[in-house]
Amino acid sequence: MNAWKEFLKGLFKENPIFVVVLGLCPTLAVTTQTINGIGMGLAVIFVLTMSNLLISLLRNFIPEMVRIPAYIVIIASFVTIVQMVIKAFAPELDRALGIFIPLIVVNCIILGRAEAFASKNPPLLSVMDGLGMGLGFTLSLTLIGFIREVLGSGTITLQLAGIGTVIDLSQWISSPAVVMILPTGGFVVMGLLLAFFQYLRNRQAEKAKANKA
Amino acid sequence: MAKAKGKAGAGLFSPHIHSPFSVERVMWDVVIALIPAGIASVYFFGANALRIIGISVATGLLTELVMGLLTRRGITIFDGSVMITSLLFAYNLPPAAPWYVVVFGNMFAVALVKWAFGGLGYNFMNPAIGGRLFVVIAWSGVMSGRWSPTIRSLIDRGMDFWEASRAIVSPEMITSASPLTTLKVDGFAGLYKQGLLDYWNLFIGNVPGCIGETSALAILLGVIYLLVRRVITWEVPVLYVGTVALLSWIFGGLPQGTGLFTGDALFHVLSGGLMLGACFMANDSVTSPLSFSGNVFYAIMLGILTTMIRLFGGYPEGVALSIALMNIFVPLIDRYFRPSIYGYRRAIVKKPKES
Repeated sequence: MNAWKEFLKGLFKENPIFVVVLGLCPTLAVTTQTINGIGMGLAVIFVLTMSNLLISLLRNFIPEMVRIPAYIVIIASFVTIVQMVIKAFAPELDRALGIFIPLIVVNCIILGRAEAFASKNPPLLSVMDGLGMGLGFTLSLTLIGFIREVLGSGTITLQLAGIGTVIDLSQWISSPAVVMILPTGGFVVMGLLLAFFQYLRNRQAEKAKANKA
Repeated sequence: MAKAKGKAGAGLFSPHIHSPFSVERVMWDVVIALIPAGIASVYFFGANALRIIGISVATGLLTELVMGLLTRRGITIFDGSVMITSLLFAYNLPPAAPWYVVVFGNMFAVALVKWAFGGLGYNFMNPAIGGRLFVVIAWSGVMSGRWSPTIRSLIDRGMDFWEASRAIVSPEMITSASPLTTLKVDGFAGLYKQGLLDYWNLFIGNVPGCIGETSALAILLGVIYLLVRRVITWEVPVLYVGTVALLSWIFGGLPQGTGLFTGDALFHVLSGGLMLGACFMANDSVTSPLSFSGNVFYAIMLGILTTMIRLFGGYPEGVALSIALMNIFVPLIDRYFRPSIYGYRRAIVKKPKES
């Protein structure tokens, strides 16, 4: 029951991108295609869950003073595994994500969850927290990537390692706005989605207030 | 300084001066001043200009209405500001611009550049400039590679207004480059060859370009009206154009390899969007500095940036980019170039006597 709550909070209530606003660098950089968001998200889910688990197991052994280097070592080893797997099985995804796979090591979300959650909670809760946060991250990136790709290149790419298809929307979108897959478009979409989520949360808070009163 | 500032801020003493200026009056005056350029655009680019201006104004009014109601500010379409944005944005488009460029560009300008930051008075950048830059990046092929010739030469050859309007946006005719593009690609030799180095045509606007920016004559008429009505001050337009003229005279020959002091200042002043940008967009009252000295600095920086982009940058035209960049610096400029408070100097002179 408790574990389920930890899982769900990452999806909306504490969504790492739209509510906590962490890890924006890969969010803005890689979301030029729908599939990039999914690929990046899967990598982050794996690293986040595994590092949360390991840090949670070791939380009573790691001395307070060297905890950050210890977390970094744990996270970096999982990132290395992910990077090698992607390089071997999905080379085109590796080219699309580029430097942002090794940069998962210093991703604020992962270090943030290690510091704020996994170092204080038992393994099961930490794993659920990692899965939820990772899934929230994945869904957010996929959403941004989907909007940017549809508006910016008129396609929906759902192709990973040769499996899946690329949906062509050129019938409806004959001259897509290239600006949407450039950094400018990333900031515009990100800002509008942040505003939308803030609006939803404000309305929820108002409702809760009204219910109490 | 800090003391004087505190005193001035302490209270608003009577007597108050009643100013005849209201937001509505200023805005509608600018709209009136934009009419000559609109007439010139229809005269030189025919029905295409009418189409673009119509779509732009319709989109602008609708977006303003929706955003005003969404943000619960009421109906703000009558204050005239959205008309200025829509007209200026339309004037910044080539005659062959497709409808989606006009619609989405102006929606971006009004909804995101203006309303997302709080509406009229809070926009950090001139909305029309924001919209123009958005469509330049979004549909660069449409915005920079497809200039149409004016309809006058076709009408001289016996076509009527509608035929000529259709003819200049047909794919065969969209090949001629604007004067600045030709200068960038082929140099002055190219300009001579295409007959684009005709100062009279550049002045009245009979050259390929964006619909409302080519006619310096029509823009000057509007500016004289605004100066007479005291809606704008002279420093930004005059210093901006002056800086571009001076710098393009000094350095204009360098890209052609003819050395210093050989540039064609008149050509650079009359071509491209400089006149429109300097007279109507750079001195927009929301996004230009407040003080005289601030405006002087702002205008000179605009001139330097525009000349640098035109002569040495990758784009043939740099007016929109430089205005956008300097708009962002306006809050900083306002901090450094504060006007001295009335009576402040006399207080300093008196001080030693008292002690």
